[in-house]
Amino acid sequence: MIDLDATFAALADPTRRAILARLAQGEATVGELCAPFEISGPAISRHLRVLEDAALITRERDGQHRRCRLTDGAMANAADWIERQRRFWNGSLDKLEAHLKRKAEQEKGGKT
Amino acid sequence: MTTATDNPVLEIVRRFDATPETVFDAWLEKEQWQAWLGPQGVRCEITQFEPRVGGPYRLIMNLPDGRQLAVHGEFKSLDRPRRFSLTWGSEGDTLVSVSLRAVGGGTELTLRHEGLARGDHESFAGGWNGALDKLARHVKGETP
Repeated sequence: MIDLDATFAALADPTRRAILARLAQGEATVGELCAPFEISGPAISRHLRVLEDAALITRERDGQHRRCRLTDGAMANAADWIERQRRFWNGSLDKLEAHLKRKAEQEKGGKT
Repeated sequence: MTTATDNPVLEIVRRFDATPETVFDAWLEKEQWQAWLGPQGVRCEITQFEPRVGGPYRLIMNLPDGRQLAVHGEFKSLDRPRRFSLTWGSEGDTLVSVSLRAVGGGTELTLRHEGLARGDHESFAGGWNGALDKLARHVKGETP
């Protein structure tokens, strides 16, 4: 079970979002991930740990390097959430439209 | 108008053939809200409803397959007929904001539903959710 709050909390930080955007283009070593950022290796490692705990990325050792990769699970979970809410509200607003129409007709009927 | 905050997780814009006051009341009057909330086939039952800032609400969604889904939250802002917002607790703590604008005799409604982490509603205004949307599209293989 993926914790959606952990996903959103992990996504709340701009550096972590930038890391995810980079990984969305393909896996990378920790060193490659560090390069675009003006922050220390340990700081990047902390961000990676948060992303890993939220199940957004996986890290595995590859010889000298640790390779990071995006998991689909957590992001797909967030995307599913958006899609579920979209269906819910679109369906509700369809019914609101019908409700307002009915109400207007009733009021019109009441006046004449 | 484009600002960082105009970039939510979910934004829906719809037009209604009614005044902003009428649309506002359709959300903020218990009997009316209950009458239409939820997609086709979902019957909604409001068990608590206190439409004031900080006031709670509680409702049960009866799904077509017989399952029930509880939703609860509180009203965060009420500015009739322009806008209101409420927390929406069903899967985590989320925020629904609705703004209403009079357009050509009708009303344009903008609904935002933001899936926020606990207790961070204000600090997240910087538009992280747009990035989330983009990432979600990335993962789905669409162009961001």
